[in-house]
Amino acid sequence: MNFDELKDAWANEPVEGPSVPTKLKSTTGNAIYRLRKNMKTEFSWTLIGLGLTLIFMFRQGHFSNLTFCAAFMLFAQSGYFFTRFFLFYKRSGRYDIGLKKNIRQFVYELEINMEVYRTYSICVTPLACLAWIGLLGGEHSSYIRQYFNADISTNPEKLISMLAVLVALQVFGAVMLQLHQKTQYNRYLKELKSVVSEFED
Amino acid sequence: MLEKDKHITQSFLASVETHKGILYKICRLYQEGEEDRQDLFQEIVLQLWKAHESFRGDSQFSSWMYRVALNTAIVYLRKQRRYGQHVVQAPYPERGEDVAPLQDSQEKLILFQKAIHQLSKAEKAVIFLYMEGHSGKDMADILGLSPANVRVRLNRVKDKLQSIIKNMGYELR
Repeated sequence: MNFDELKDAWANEPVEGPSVPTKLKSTTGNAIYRLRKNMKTEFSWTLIGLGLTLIFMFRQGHFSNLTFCAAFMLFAQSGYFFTRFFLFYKRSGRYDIGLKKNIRQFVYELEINMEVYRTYSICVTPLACLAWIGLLGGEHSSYIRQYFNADISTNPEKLISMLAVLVALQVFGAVMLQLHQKTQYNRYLKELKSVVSEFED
Repeated sequence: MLEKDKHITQSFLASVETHKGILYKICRLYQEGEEDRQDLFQEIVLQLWKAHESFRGDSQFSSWMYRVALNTAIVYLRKQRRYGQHVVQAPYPERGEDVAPLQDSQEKLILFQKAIHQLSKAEKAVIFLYMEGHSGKDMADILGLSPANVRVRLNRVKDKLQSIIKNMGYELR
């Protein structure tokens, strides 16, 4: 086949496409931008959750040491993890590097950040639960208040039941996150991985 | 809208208008149905607009546009089609009994474009840049591959296209 001859025909071919839209649609079919959009949405919801926690803390004014420590750790860990996620978000969607490098790097970082997200979830689920039980329960239930202020050295069964609740919440959180990642991230990750493998061949 | 923003928007739209032929060729390469092509076209313009701030003017607008447009087309998710919906494909000469040589350049091009649809996304990008007249170095830069790798891939794609066209029952001379 004479490709040079075809090149001329290709260059001279009149192309009648659609006109350039002056108003752009807001939805996107771009895998990378869908992922970025999901990240943005999740970040917003987490911020709302953290904001509500802060509001409850200020509104209540007094809370147990355990509640305060849990809330403090929740904010500190969220700050650390979300800085990481934000840096990844900023790095994604750039076009100053080649196609293969861009997509491969994005896939690589996405996989790492999905793992980091799991770690974040495992770290903060018990803290968030403790903080919220302490904040809401402490206000309305004397039983929970006593529970949180109990001397665990004399009440080992309370310690065990508390740990059991935390482990159960953590397992529930991990399963939910796994399902969430499967629906919100894995589809796009799979698509991008297939593109990377095409370039790796 | 501020006067400056208005000017930026107008100059962006004018640049895209100038190069819209390239964009439409990319859409035709990566999507088969007219509706899907229009969706991809919109998507590319949207991504170009979003990435417009990152265009520093070090390279030509068209080179930067190739990069963004191909990137968008390659990671663009195909719409889920409902059962029974068909894609209308570009007509091409019917297959003959034996391998038939084609003489007319328009017929050759239609057949060639048909054959390209059987390539993978990465292969399409390679042959597209080659057909657009990019040098090996430019292609390597846009695709993020080494120039040697581009040469090898290009030869492989050309061979693959030859055999696809032969399987269709034609021969380009």
